[in-house]
Amino acid sequence: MIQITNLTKTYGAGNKTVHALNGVDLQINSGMFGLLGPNGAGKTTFMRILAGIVNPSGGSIRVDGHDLTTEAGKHAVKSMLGYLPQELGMYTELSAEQFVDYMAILKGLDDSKKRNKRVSEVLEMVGLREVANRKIKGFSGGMKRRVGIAQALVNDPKILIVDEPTAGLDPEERIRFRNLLVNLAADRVVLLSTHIVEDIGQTCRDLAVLAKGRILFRGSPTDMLKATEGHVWSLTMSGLEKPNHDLTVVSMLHLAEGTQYRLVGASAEGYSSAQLTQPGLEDAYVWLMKQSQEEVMLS
Amino acid sequence: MSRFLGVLRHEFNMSMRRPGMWIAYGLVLLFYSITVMYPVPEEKVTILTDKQIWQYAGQMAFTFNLFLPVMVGILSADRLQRDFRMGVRELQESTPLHLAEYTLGKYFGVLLASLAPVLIWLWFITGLFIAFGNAPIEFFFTMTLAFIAIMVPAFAFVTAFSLACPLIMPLRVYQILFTGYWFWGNYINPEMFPTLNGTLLTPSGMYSYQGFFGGFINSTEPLTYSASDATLNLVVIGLCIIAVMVVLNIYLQWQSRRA
Amino acid sequence: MKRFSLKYTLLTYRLDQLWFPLAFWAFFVILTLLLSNEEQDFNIARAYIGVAVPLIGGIMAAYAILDDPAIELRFATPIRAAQILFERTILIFIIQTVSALAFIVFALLIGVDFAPLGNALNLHLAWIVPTITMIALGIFGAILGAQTMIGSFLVGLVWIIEVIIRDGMAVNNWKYAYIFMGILTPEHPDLVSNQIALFAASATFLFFTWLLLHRQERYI
Repeated sequence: MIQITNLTKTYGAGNKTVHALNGVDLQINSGMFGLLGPNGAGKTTFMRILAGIVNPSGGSIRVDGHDLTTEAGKHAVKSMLGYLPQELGMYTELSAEQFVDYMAILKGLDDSKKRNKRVSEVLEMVGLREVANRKIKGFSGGMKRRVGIAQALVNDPKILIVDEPTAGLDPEERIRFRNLLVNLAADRVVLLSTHIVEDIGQTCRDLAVLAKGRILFRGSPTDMLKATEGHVWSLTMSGLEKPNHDLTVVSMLHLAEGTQYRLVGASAEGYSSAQLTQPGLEDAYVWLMKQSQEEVMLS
Repeated sequence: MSRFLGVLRHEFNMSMRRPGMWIAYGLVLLFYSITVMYPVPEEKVTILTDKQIWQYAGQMAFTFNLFLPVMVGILSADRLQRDFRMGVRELQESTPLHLAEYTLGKYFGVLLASLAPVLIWLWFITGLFIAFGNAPIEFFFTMTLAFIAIMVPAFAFVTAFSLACPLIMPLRVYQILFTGYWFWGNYINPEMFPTLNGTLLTPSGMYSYQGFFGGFINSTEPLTYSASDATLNLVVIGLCIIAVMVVLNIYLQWQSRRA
Repeated sequence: MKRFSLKYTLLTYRLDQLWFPLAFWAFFVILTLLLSNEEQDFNIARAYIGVAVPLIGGIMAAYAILDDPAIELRFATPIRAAQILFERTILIFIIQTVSALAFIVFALLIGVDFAPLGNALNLHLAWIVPTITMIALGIFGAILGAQTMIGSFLVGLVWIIEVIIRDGMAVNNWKYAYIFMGILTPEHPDLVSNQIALFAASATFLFFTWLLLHRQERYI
């Protein structure tokens, strides 16, 4: 469905050149695909290229056979695309229904009867049917995000791109969002870009980890966990000293007997009381980032 | 004091770093240099007399005041408003920064950033005059005085309004009104149409140009404004600036109490 | 036109783009009534339609595309650049047109004689030409600099320069860039060439704006 070969995006020139994307190769098929990475990894740039808003500096990117480096290709892809950007700007003086209706018109749904029906459907899908006539400026953050997803769905897109959709949402809203996205992924490509590991873990069977414009990992969450086995420990220490020996502290909890640390690293040789623990996805992410930093230092 | 200087320094640096500002100044100053500046007599290279260096300095500064304040007014209009738009003001209010330190720091930072490129350019042009033998070295001194007496009050006046007014009206509305005002309030003939031009509320620098620098070079017409008129004009302009800044502070205080 | 809605185009416009021209129009109407002098009325009328309306249109146009809160979403839809340009500027032009025409009607009703501006065609070209030119300049400047401030600055600067040195502009080669020729010196022998040159300039500005709009990443 989406074929990406050696995708690059560069900003600036000379000493100030930033390689936002540096030779990304990916093939994404139907279903839920997660793109994980730290801030500044290039996720939003990648999403914007897929949405046809940003032009790549090099490489090729084809969506359902259409070449995104050409105007005709971009136009064709935008017709089958639903996009929820990270910074969601909306016309807050419009009601939810009006806004989604307007976006439907911009996406080419000219038949007013079909469009009205579709707008109702998507608002129902995101649980905003009852407040459809309320102005967006009166909505909470979560509700605004839901309006965002509604406008992304209104043209029944083959590809749905959601960039950091759960940032700033409360846990209940995040769960609702994740479930909605998984439902939608049954019959289309859903690309979820996030730095929240849990969102990926709960929804995606296929993911890539992006850092400094490069793909560090490509596979399933299970593969990522397998690669981390043997590198996660639990350690309780008393006193003020913190674990070192090139171990990353993923979490710490103050207990009566001392502080319990969850550690990720190559080895916990220096700590005889450290106990190997089953890795979680967050641990896997930290281990991956650690390895990539070490590779950079060695090179 | 250190907080005020911090705000001033930050605003100055931010304004100076705007490529748009340098492009705008570059275009306008180039335009001036080619078209508006009084041409040097072609018959022979003459050295300006003592009286003429004052008149010429005043004329250059006054001519720059025709258009540059419009540019300054438009470009500075978003400097204070953007802090609100970007949510930075909320962060600043949670710090020990006093409101007066903030507004004055912003004001002087924007003002100095607007004046600096013009002063550099004026000194450059003055240097050329002196280097080519058209003026004595004293011209440097008179040009700087003309800058201070004619241009600085105009820029200061415009900057105060450009910081304050966009807080109570949309930016584009202010830019339209201000551009129209600059022409109406400074260059319309009062005999033809009611205007502030010619009153003590005129910030164009005409009072100072005539009162302190002798008016148009080679003009035989009597001067309309004396040195005491010019002084009074500067005082009135100064009071207007103070009034605007005071009202701005009151408005911002009222806004934070409302929030 | 596909993918266009007049209703939503109006609803998504900033309110000040509607009330401000109206307020300005009302101000000039009141001013005319207060001063109530035959010569003054004519000067005020031509100042409004040929000088003030282009300024308002130009600066409003500078904000037309970039001052859109949903710009990223709009760019992600399959709307062509030409349509974005048309949709976001046409209302500005319509509002200025209605303002100018309404003022002309008002002026005629109170007895203003527009004969010095020539026939009906010349009268309307005298305000249409500078208005289109300033709108095109405003939007071009904003898109070129990827900032609304650049567009409004260019419009303001050109306006003030041409208003202040209008007499000088009418007599040398700058006359082809003199946007107020039709309204301030309608008897100028090069008026037609001037208007053709300004139309050409406007078309050029709009063409380059359309080209630049394809580089959407510059504006988000």
